[in-house]
Amino acid sequence: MKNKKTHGRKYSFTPKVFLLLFVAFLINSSLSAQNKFRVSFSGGLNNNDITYSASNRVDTEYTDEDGNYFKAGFNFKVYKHISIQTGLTYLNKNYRFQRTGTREGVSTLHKSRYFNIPVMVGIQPLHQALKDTKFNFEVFAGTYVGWWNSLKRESTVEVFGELDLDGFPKKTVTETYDFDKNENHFNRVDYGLQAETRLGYNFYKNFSLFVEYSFMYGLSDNQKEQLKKTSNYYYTTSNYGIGISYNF
Amino acid sequence: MKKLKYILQIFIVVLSLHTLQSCREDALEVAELDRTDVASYSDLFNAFWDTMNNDYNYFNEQEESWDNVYKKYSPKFKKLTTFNKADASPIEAEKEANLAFKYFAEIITGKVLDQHFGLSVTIPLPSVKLPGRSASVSAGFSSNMKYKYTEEDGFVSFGRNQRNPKVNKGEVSFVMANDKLDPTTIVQEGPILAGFLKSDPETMYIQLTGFEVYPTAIIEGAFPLLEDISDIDGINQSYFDDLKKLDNEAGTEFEALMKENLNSYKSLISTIINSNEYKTYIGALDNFKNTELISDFENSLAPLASFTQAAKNEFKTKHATVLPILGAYYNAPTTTEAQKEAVSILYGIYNKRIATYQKVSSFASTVSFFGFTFTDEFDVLLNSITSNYNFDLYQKLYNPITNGKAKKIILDLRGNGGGYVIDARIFTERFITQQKVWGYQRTKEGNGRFNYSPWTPVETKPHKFALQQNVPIAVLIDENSFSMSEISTMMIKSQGDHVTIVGDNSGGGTAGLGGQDSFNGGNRLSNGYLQFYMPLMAFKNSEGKVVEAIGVTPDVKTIPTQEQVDELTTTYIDPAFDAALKAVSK
Repeated sequence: MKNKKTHGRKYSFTPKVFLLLFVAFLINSSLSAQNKFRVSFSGGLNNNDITYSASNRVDTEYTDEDGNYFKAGFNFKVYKHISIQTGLTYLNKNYRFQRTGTREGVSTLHKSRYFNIPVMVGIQPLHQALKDTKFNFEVFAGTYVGWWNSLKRESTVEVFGELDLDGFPKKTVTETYDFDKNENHFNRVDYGLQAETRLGYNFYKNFSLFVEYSFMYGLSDNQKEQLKKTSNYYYTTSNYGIGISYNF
Repeated sequence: MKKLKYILQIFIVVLSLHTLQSCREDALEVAELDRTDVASYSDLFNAFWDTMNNDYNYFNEQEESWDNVYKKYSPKFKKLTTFNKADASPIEAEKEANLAFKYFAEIITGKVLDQHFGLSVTIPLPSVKLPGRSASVSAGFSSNMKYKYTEEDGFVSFGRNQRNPKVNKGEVSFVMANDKLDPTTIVQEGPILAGFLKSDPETMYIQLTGFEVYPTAIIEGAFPLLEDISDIDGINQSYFDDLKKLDNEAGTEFEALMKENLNSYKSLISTIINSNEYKTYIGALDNFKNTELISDFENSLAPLASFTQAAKNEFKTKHATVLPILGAYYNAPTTTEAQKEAVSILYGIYNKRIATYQKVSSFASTVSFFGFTFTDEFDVLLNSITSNYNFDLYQKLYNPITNGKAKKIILDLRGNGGGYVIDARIFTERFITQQKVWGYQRTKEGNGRFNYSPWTPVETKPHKFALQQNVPIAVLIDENSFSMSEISTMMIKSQGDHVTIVGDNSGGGTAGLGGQDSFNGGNRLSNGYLQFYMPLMAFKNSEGKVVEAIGVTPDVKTIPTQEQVDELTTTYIDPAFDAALKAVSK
């Protein structure tokens, strides 16, 4: 057969590996809590893109969509300028399915809400240069695990049963997806790699304001495992925001 | 040293990106049925399994996991070795083909939920080896079928599984037309038989044997209309000048002749359009669109046809002189080869312009009704309509529904296997009085076995000439009512309790069919070995229940005995019809 697919799994990471990493980091973090501890609250806008395969489908694509995020962060300094960053992020991972060309107008906007827990190691690469200023620059890298909390779909479809002499009329429906039924067999477990950078300014005693950017590279398919999948749906998310932190 | 550090950093970044990429599974290419080579039974099974995996709509509702089907049957098909093998034993090949049929039957029969679904499998046999000749064995599969497999006789299909005695819709027509309907009220056209009952002149009975009403409907564009061509261009002057350079006298003569004829054609169209007969025809057509009263329109056809015929004869006479005049010039001994070529080109251009005038003005056009297509000139088409169109459809069926003469209605959809979806607008919505949701559709989005759209409500709303108020309606269905019959039954039932469904559960094949590109699902393709008949959507009723394989459940269950069915045309006893009459009479 030609057009054969490659179905072999090429994962280097699995959910179990991430869980182990996560637990290890938490233990490590709590052991280091005697050192400096920081809490932060931040939020902002984000953009989420999704991978897909649609080589066999006419005028079909998935596109990125904007959203927002809110984050409570906890930072433990473990050694000099090295810290562990974790917390809880509540964020959109939105995307859109749409038809193009002559079928333009048919689309489904997926407005997803996820809870993510990042676990990252951070360093302060410019600490020497910034040591006499009130600025602080940090870079983090690590992983995240999460849970698909909710999904709202706004869908415009052609209604087959309402065919008239001008063709199929379009209709827009909005629904809150029922994860108990989970007809689309979505995979609610979410994990991936995350990198983050943060520039802070200590404006009053232990309080700092900061701007941040984080990049999330999803490694979990948003559809459940099945034989001979015809498409993978992985997220890539960028978050841009501002926040405030307090150093204990 | 600094440079080395810089290179090392770039290397680390590139390596990191590569590592990230490899953490994700490769982008997938999906095999398409009509672009897939099949060289073995394993390929045949994979093509079947993959097509279902890509395009089928009811996996979520179906009991058996499609993964399990693969795990169970892939090894079985792999064991079969004779597919398309020229050197295989024909006896062994035939045995394996039957075994493959058995496997397909096991996968599909009673397992595939979609009752519209059909698969035809053709397996080549090696017995005939001459080029251009081949032998093969074929079998068809559907969910609701009976079959038997033995080693000796191989796979034998006994066709559709009939649950209860089957009422013959032809015999029902016979009984209704000859016994129960008032002959003066009967209209019979294509799939439609309608009339008022002798026993109850207020009750209209309509039997629809298939949803093929669309070709009988008078809709926009159904009848020919003319377009003014006063401003259309004539022949480019250069064609005349080419001849004039060679023979000025002939060129001037032919230019005058052709220009006059082309102008005559334009005048013909203007004359018809401005005639009282055409205005009456247009007025009657407009009036019909607003009233569905057909008699004025019917009466306008013959006068317009006569007028058009007389008017076109004048042009035809002039047009007929062109060829002899040009022919005489062409054949004259004094005409040079260059002149012959120029006059030939001129004549070709002239005819091309006339043909363009005919098409642009729609004087020569095509109309379709009752499944027949007529292509001819305007007057001939009008006469064809007069002699072929059954205007009684409006006078005896549709008008009484609109004007309230039909105070009770029995709609008999027994044995109706479905048809055009557009018939929902043209026919079914005549029985609708209020906009209502009657079901929900779900289609596919991108790839993925379960990549579904949200369930979307499907509504019905009254036809412009629908019932003016609710009247008692009984809809007769049985297990041979499929697709549009079931959809129409659900649409009408959505209107309220004045509608009673009588008979047996319908067939339960409610999902619609079409090309797979429209809704990214379903499949009607073939690769020479597999031919799919797969709907493009899933459907559930207004209560949110998937009724595939269950069907529409009647309010009054009435199933005739085999004896009653056998004796229908002698006893004229039709228990389901009697129950329907009782339902509308209470």
